[in-house]
Amino acid sequence: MTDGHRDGPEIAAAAGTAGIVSRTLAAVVDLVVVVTLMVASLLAVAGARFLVSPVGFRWPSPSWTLSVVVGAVLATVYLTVAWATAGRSCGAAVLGLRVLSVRGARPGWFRAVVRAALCVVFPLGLLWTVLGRRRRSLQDLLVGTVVVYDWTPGNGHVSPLGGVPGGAAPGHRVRSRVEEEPR
Amino acid sequence: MDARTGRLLLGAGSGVARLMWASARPVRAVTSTALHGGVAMATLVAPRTAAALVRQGRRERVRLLRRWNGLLEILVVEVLDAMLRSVDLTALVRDHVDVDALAGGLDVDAVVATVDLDAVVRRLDLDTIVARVDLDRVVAAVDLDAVVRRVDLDAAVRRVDLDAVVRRVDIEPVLAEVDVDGIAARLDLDAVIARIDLVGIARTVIDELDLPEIIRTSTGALSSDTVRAVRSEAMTADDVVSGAMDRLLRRRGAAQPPVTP
Repeated sequence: MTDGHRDGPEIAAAAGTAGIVSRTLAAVVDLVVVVTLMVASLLAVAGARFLVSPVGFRWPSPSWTLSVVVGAVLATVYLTVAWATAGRSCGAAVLGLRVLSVRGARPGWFRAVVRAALCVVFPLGLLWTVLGRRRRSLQDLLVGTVVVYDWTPGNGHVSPLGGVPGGAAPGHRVRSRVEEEPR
Repeated sequence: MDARTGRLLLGAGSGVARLMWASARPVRAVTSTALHGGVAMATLVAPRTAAALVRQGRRERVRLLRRWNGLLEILVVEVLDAMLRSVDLTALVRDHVDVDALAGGLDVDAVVATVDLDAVVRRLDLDTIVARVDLDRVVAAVDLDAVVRRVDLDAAVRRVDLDAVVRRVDIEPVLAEVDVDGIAARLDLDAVIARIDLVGIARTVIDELDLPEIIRTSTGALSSDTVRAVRSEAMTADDVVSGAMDRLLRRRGAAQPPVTP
């Protein structure tokens, strides 16, 4: 996933930016992942409690506020790690998407954590993907990232980094559009 | 003339003769006298009457021969009849005649050649004959094993056109008459299964199949196809939404050209 030599301008140059449907579906998958992480955390807490005090064990019943906060933190951490290390979350991997900086490089930790926080706090920013001309969400515009297709339908290759279309003409168009975006 | 009539005639003739002989005694005396007297005359006329006597004697001999022939025929018939009744000819032939030697001397071929077999067969009422035959008993007496041993079944089967036979068989009525349920009910499936080395068969099949590889390939292909389909649909939907928004917002030309698969 950290295939560094593939990162770079050529990926952004070759790929098209992803639209609202693909990104929403990826977000749903990520939501499932986050919920799974929350359940796992709950089970871990319960297990720890049981180990510490088996006699007085009670199933943890966190409040809604705590649940939302924990969920938000988990989602932010999960998305940050995923984007900073692999350039894609689980949902993006399923849908064949990749998060890049506008230069076509993998987003650094800073971009990743800011983008993750913005996505968690204001997920409706994704709707700007439809309203904007470049298929970029508000988070993308703010942190300078772009989400591209990282697969090609023709060869059926679903490897995260394998299916980069090689067409020169659309690639140049994409790069020119990305470079036109305001930082 | 049969024997009884002959005997009656003989008896009647004999009685008439005796009666005539007794009643003719005076006549004989007169005749004797006349004969004695006539001898002298005869000596005189003998040369003329000798030829007539010879002729008369010849006639008498012929007449007597005819009578005795008739009597002999009657006698022979009677004697033979009595003999045959008193003798068991069958036993006589069986005891004293070499039948085998007689049969050996017969030219059977010549005899058969003279027989008009077609005519004989035409006169036979074969249905009646067959109806009188006890086939069960005949078959029971046949050594079928010996007969079958002498049959070259392979050669016989090779000469049979089985395809033609099968083509002529109407299987449907046969199948309709087969009680498959009944046959299945009579099967002892447990015994059959018990005789099958299922574990060995399963092990052999598993050894032949690279099951893990098949599972890997199939699940990989399935997930790959599914993921690719989801991605394609999502990509198309992206383009549709973008196009719709472009038209809605009256933007000229899509900023994002559709990614053609």
